[in-house]
Amino acid sequence: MAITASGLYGLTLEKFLIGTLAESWEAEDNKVLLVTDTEAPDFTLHDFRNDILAEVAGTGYTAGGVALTATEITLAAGLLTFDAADVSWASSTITGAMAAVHYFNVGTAATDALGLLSDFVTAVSTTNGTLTVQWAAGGLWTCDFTP
Amino acid sequence: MGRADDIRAAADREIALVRAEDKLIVAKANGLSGDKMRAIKDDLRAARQRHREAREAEATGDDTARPATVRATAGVKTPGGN
Repeated sequence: MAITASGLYGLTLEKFLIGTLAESWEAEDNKVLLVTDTEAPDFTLHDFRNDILAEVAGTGYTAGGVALTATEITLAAGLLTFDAADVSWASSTITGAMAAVHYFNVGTAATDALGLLSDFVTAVSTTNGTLTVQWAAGGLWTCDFTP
Repeated sequence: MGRADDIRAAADREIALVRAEDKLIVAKANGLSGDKMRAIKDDLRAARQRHREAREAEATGDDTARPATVRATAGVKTPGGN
């Protein structure tokens, strides 16, 4: 299997809508990890970090990824936008990172709810360099609530 | 540049450095001095510099991913509609 598209994890969205997750998109301790193209995301069935089976490994990369900071949800012109600061791994040697996975840092792989997977389309690799994920100007995700 | 080109370029740099070092050894053994000796030392210095710069360039490699925004659309159905 491979990564073919970005997406929001539906089971986590459902928990937000019915109020059972008790987490915030704007918390500053949620995290982003990197996966290779071996990952096979299922946006309908995958719910927690233990569903992620192809996290990258390498020098300068700690399993579980890094914190996503400067998080912000804004509403404007019928569009809800989630944005945050870019994330990076300095002095890293990472091969074939194909997507970033955002998750809510609840505490363990079995409880960290998956937020979204962002497909790079083209894999990125570093050799003792800085791997940066530069989020799009339009944010990590948007929801058009007045389509 | 492809992988084969990278390997060829690295091999050429190694050969150039070894040749420059050999030249100096031979020049010293022959008791060479003056301008010719200085030119050989300059060549060796330049070969070492090229070698060092290439090694440093090969030792680091940054990369940046620029993923697109994930877009969700909420749909509200017309009351009574299908």
